[in-house]
Amino acid sequence: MRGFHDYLVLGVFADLGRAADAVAALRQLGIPEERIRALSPFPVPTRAYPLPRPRDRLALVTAVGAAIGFLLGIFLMVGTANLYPLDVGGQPLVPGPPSIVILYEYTLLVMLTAVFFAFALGIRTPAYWAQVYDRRLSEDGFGVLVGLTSRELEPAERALRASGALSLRRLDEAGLRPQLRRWLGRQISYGLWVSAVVGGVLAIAILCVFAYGGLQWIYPDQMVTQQSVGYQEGPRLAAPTAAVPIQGPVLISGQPATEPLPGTAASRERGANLFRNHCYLCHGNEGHGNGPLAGYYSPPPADLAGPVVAGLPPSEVFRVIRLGRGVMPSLAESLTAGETWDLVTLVKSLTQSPARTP
Amino acid sequence: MSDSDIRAPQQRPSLGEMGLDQQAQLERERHLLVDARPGRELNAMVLEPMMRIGRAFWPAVGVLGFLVLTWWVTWGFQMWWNVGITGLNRVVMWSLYIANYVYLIGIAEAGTFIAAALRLLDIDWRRPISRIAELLTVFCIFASALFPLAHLGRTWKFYWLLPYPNERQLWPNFHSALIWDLTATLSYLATSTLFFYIDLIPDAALARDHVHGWRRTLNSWLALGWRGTERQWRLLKVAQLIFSIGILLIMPSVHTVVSYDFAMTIQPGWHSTVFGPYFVAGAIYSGVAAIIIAAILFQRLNHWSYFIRDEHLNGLGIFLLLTSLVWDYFFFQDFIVPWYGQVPTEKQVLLTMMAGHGQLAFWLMITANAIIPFFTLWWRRVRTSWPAMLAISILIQLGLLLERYIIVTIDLGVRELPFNWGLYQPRAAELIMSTGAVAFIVLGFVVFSKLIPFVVLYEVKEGQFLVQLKRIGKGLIRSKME
Repeated sequence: MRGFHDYLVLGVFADLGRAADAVAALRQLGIPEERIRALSPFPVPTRAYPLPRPRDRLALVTAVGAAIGFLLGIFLMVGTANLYPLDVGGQPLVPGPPSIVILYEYTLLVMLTAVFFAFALGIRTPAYWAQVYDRRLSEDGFGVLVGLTSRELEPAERALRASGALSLRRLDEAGLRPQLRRWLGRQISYGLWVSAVVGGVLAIAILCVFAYGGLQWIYPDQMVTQQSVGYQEGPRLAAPTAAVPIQGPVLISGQPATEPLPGTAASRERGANLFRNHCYLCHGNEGHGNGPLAGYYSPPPADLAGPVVAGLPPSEVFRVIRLGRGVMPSLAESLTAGETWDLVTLVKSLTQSPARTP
Repeated sequence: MSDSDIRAPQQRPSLGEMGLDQQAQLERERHLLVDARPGRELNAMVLEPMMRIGRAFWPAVGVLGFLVLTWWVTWGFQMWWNVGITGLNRVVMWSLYIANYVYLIGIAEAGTFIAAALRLLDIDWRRPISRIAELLTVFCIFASALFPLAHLGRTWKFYWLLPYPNERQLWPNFHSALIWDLTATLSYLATSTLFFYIDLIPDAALARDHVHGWRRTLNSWLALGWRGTERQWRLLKVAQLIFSIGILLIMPSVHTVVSYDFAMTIQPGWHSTVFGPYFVAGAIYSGVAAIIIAAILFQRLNHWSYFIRDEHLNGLGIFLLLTSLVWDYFFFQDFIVPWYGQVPTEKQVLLTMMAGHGQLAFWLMITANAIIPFFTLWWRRVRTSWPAMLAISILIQLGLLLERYIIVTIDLGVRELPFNWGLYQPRAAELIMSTGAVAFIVLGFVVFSKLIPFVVLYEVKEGQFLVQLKRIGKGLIRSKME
């Protein structure tokens, strides 16, 4: 409420028409329009009151917020890329079209956040002055709040009553001071609590973020506690003697992984089915290393019917299928141990050599 | 006048033959906005369920709280033992977590979409339900944003994704679709929360004025000293307008960016230009269904047949049918092009969905999302019957969760080379965390319904002020002041 005044008077009316009449009557008394407020429980058409249409600067805030957001986006896309240049697979440092996504999101985020804060400030929050209010204003009541000098007080109250005010509330300087003090004390105690909690959380967060190295936080990290052996370091770890494999075969060179299946015709038949899914694309129908994708690899896929594979013991074929070799990937996830032995049976049968015991 | 008079218009005498009293009564029964009641009565109708703690409240909070607790405990367990306790494997490295993320953020899309779009279009049946829609957005987006964090494995390092000046001067790689995703999700979380809050302020002031105890303290904080001056209402209207437009700009971008997580890869079945709008359509679809569920539950549990009437269910039902058809269209687009192209890998993805191990989920999804809504929602009788709408909406939720599950886990199991195919089955960890997330959203509604008013009362009062019955000739006609 701007303008000089000694008293605040609130009149509550039963309907919008009477409240509008009261505003007109006050204006006739010569009270300036910036000292009159119209209160209602829901938004009503502003032209109902003989008051100027309230002004707001939210459109300007929207534009400024959007500009700041856009610049923030530019900083993140362009600025940070140059602060810490990172070569990503030959892409330009600041890619064009992908920047649009980030710019768009940050523009809207900052724009709407700015509008929110402008709105909160615009509705005069927090309210730093004593307020005259009536609970009926959020029920059916329409209010007219007016700031009055002592000379205007009596005629204005009379005009409000004449327009049909259900009740009048008056706040003067004597009533204002204790109310203000009580209100201020409450604000300070709330403020202390809120700032203590927020400050504590922020302090811990900042400590965690910036002092990660110094703080030696105990994170659950099994990479630290597990036994590890570096590259080309000895001794090579073997499974402890009492260990029982629970998730598949223990693969140690020279030892059979699982019991091989007997190389029966049924096993070979199953192997042939699996071969079409898992092997054919590279090794070809007959296993000669001439599948549809063979040309893409160097060295080319092995000739499964050739002398090299024929010379391998079945356990070694098993190992290659399970673990992969060279460009050949591991098929351990795609095949069970039994299926792998079926494939071993098939591969061995390609060379027509009898399967030897490993 | 009995119920059958409203349900079966053809058996009723035509409006012209009815007396004015009869017409007025009929209009009042049908339309919330002409059924004006004193403000005191409206306030009581909203605040009374808010103040009342019924018999079912604490058991409900207990059960839901337990489910939420199992979510957090399971998550802690997963942090300790790492993601090996889930069904993830090298091939299917995105799991039910990501499906949940897409699904929940999809529901979140529609909440503010309904509130914002219907406000801009000035559609009157939005008035009592927009708070429910906005709150649905806030809870769903919060729950959904936790799933990528769970998916990270080392959740405690999630802040590495955030752009802030740190001691090593490292910045996230903004070329990555995953960083876009984080940016969009956090933007949407922030803006939709503010949108919800701006709409809440006058109703919080109302609760501040008319309740006692700690709820009064809480609501007087939330109300920010709102008194309802003409300047405040003007600012509120303008801020709502700007927010509605801003939300309508940001909302489709969020789910499009989520779809980029998929479409920017070269995975068969994902690498599709139609994924963006397809995801947005699915998101709005699931969200409208979720709003219908929430609105029906509030209507039943709070005895709000005054606020949420047949006209609201009817409007939401028409909207649901429309979004269903849009989803059907985009689904067909996403389906027909790979099918016609017959590229072997793409074809294999479709075959795995339709006839392979995904077939149960796939056909269930088609039934729930396309067939059942199409063959029911054309009838007003279905749209205004709450049991039918509840059943259809729950089915749609199931169908859309299955859709995301299929896209994430079944598509991902079919790679270019057959040796690299994989199967995914959710284990206990994912299932517990999924139910926990749903429980979290329901718990949020249960708890918040006792804290703040759940009907946007100032909009209802405004509507009742603007809409009036006008006598023209022999008839009473609804007219709206502008």
